[in-house]
Amino acid sequence: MRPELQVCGILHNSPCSAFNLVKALNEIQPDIVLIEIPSDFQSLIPLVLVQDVRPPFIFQAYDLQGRSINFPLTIYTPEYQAIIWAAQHKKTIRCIDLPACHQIVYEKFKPNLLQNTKEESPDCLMEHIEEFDRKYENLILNLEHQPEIFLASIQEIYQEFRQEHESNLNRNDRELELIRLRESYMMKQIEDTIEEGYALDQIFVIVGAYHLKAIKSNELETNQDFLKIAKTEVTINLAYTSYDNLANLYDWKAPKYREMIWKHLNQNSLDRLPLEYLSELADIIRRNLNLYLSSAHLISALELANALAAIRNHKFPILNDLHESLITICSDPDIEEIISLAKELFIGYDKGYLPQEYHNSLLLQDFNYQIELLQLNSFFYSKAKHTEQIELDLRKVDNKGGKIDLKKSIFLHRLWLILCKFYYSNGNITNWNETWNYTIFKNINITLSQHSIYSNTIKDEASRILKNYVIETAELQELCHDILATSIFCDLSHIYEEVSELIKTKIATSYSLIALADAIKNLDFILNFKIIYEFNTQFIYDIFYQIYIRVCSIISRESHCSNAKARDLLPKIQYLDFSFQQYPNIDQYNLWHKELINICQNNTVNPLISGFTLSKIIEHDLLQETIINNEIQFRLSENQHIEKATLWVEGFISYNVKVLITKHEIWFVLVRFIEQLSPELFAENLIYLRRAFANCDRDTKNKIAEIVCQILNLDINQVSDMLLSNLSEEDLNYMANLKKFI
Amino acid sequence: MKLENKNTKMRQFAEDLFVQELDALREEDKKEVKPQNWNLSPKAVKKFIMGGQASGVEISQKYMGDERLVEIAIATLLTDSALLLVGEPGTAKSWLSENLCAAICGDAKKVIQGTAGTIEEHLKYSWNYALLIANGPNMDSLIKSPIYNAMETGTIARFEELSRCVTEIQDAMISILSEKNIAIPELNTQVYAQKGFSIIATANTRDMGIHDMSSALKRRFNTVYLPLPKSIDDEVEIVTKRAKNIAHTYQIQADIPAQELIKRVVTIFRELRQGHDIDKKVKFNSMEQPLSTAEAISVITGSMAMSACFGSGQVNEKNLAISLHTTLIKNNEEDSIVWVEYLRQMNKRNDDWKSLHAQCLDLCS
Repeated sequence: MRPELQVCGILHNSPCSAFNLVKALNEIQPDIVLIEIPSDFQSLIPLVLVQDVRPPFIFQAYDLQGRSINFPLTIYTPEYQAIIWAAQHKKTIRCIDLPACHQIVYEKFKPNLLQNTKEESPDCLMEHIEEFDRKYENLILNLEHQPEIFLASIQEIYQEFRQEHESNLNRNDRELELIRLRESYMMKQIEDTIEEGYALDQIFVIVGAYHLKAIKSNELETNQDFLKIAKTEVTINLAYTSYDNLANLYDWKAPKYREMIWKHLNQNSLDRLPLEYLSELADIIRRNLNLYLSSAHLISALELANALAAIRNHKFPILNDLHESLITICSDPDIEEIISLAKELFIGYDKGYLPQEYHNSLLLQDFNYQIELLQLNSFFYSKAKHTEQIELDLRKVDNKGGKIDLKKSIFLHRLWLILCKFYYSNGNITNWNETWNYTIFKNINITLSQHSIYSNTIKDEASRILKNYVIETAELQELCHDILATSIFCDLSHIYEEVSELIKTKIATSYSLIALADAIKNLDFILNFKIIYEFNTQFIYDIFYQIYIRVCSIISRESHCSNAKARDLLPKIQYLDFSFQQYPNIDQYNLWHKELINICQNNTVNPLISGFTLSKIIEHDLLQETIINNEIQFRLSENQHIEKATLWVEGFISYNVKVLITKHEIWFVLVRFIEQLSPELFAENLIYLRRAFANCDRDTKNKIAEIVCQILNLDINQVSDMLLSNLSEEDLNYMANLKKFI
Repeated sequence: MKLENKNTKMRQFAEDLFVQELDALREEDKKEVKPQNWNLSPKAVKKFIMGGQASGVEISQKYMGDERLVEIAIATLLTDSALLLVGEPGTAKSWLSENLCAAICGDAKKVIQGTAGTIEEHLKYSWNYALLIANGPNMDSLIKSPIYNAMETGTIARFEELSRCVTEIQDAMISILSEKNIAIPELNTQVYAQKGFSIIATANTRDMGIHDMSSALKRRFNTVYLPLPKSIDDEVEIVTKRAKNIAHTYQIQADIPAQELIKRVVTIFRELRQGHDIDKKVKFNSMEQPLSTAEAISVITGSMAMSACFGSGQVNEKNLAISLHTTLIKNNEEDSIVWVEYLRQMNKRNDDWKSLHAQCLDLCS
């Protein structure tokens, strides 16, 4: 043991550690401060002391393989406060941890640093709060604030933690090896500092409490040649970050709340923290939820929070106590919404500030790497930028079997998503060509620089943005078309599952046949792309099935509608029928056909739809002739209301005129039906009849003429001429005077 | 299995039912600081509700759910505000209210049942009219309400189904909760609430729109929402336990169904409630009616009664199907559609359950 060596064990990211550390530094006034930061970050220290620079930011080292070491610093990070203290007191500060170029060799490549956006869900936020409360709150707030007692308590807690942690690690574990190496290196730096001539009482060492015991012991091996340890070429960088970035990417808990703790520690007003937090949260709730919360509510909430803290053995109300007390006071709260709003207060969105010349992020590195790989340099960096255009053929295969144009398309779609945040393609499905103009990418560097605080690769950032859209999107159509299509064009297959789950939820609660038919149409459109993008289509078939069941469940109900709505539904039902035929194995129970039969024979549904469904039944040969004929007889019988009957006829032939031509017996019934109408009734319903046959082409009219002539024993040539000729003026006036027109 | 129940009362209050546990907790709690007029400390109250051990006696768990909610309820009773327990039907609001009173003040009998016919006299006081006419207004002719009694003794009164009372009657609570006294103008006096007085009210989320609480009244309450059971195992345990109790009370001569059958019923309820299957792969519409745990219990006990009366005493799938059908389809066409859609969807996925589903589908056609 070196009893005179002043070593302080701190918790990284702890405002209480930072507060007590500064007190200790003020008391001890060392000449040199040694801190546990990789020593190759030493060059970044003068940068953070520049006036404009504001935390949070990250000391970052990364290599070409995408591995990185990240050391975030905020205003309440003990190391940052130590740097500021040293600068203010004109003392030397030195980083003594094993250099990042060595440490990075032990890092695994993390292909997707992005957390799943479920981090945003209320359940994940609750877990976040609970973990903060469990691990840090008690430690930070329920300990005394005299430095020596606080710091001694930290040591004790972390000794136990270290023992437990090391017992879980294998002797040969790389993590254990790295810990030993780092501690030996730090001890060597301390020894070198002593050899430089600093007295022990002039040196102040700041390390994580985890390392404290090891640093203070005499057991570390400091003789090894650290230069021979494996290393790699790294770029050192000071990078942008924000509080929510720290929470999402680096698993920091409640970064903004810690800033509040820091503020109150420095103002010696920690007892006011619960009230300030509740007050700010109440303000956010008032603004966003329009919920009335008065000062009386706040007083009650504080009283309840204190009572909860007492029951739960907390010295102060912790985050959960505060949230639960305010939620309880709001008599009709949307708990999930309140927790989501509270995120602004305990995680926060504050960004650090760095001057422009400091930007050199991993995201930009990835961008440059990709354009090099995809041979897009001339597109992005050509001198004649305003004219640069690129044409891609998505099916093209190069001589090595690669689809480089497809890869370029995917990359450009991702960039477009990052830049403009909406789905876009100027592609042509018929020939799979795409054309991209440079002008849309002219501000790409600036945009990527801003996005670099969120993600390290183009793919990750595109993924993050698309996931945010998944959360925001409400409409089934948008999900099926825009979002799903975009995820395919950007080759972000991990989003399919998330989107398809959301689509299924929408389907389950949809009562709109129109929306469901449009959804199927969108899915059909997307399936066109499976040849090119080679994605697994099973999830689309699962959605098809879901839509199929839902349509079968609601079509009967939806068929009881007005004429106007029925006209909107007919083309949709037609499309659904067509779609379902493409997948004959979709349902062993043939629910769709059963529903068609039910609707056809139901006298209460809209006649347009019941007529239409009979034509489908005939087309699919679902019923016997006799039943069909009976149905037609019934629908066109004397007892039927004339308007209903003519609407039925209109529905019957609206999408299937062939039925009229092939089934002659229908004409017998139809002729008999029209013959029994009085002139007035005939006139009233001529509109419907005229509209029913409006879409018939010349050939069809000729065939109808043949059939009618056979039935009525008329001359075919005369009838044909009449059908093909224009209406006389008298007839036109007669039509114009008909009052009913729907 | 034959059940014998020698207790002639259909239902005992919690302080009588759990008298041994309360005694054990009091024994353990002797040295703890208690709020004024509380029989137990807040931690002991929590132990009574959530279960544990005290003085060698096993304390049964009364409320199966998040202990944080119980902590909030207890903490509320330590403050100036009253406690309002809100939840879907069958989420143990009244049960929790009763047990909290039993633990805190040893008396859960000071209850007002809220109905459309509740008047202000039920809340404050009324008169014995014979004595009133005979002797004039005095304390002997005054009939004290449960709230009045609770104020006098510094204990807790319960108000069940607060939102079923008309708004004007609810608002009579505002002065009680704010002023913490009841004026008796006829006797030119008032009764002041002693320390320890509070009110635990319950309200059903389905009834919240019937007689909306005024914001002034809402502010006097801390509202704790009691959710439906989080996990399927919790719900199965609750259903099994309650079904056993009911069978014992009503001497139903049938065996408790196998755990697997109870789990199926609970699974059906949960899936219909949530609008998706347990694996979250199949989605369907939720039902209009609440589908509470109480109704799941009703399905089990109904099927037990059916098998006892008309079967062998062993619940089979037919009994369950009939019981499910009558509970789920309460003359509601929308729910019928949802039920049929559910059975069709789930029939594709669960081979083990095909027989039960088939029986249910038969009843639907």
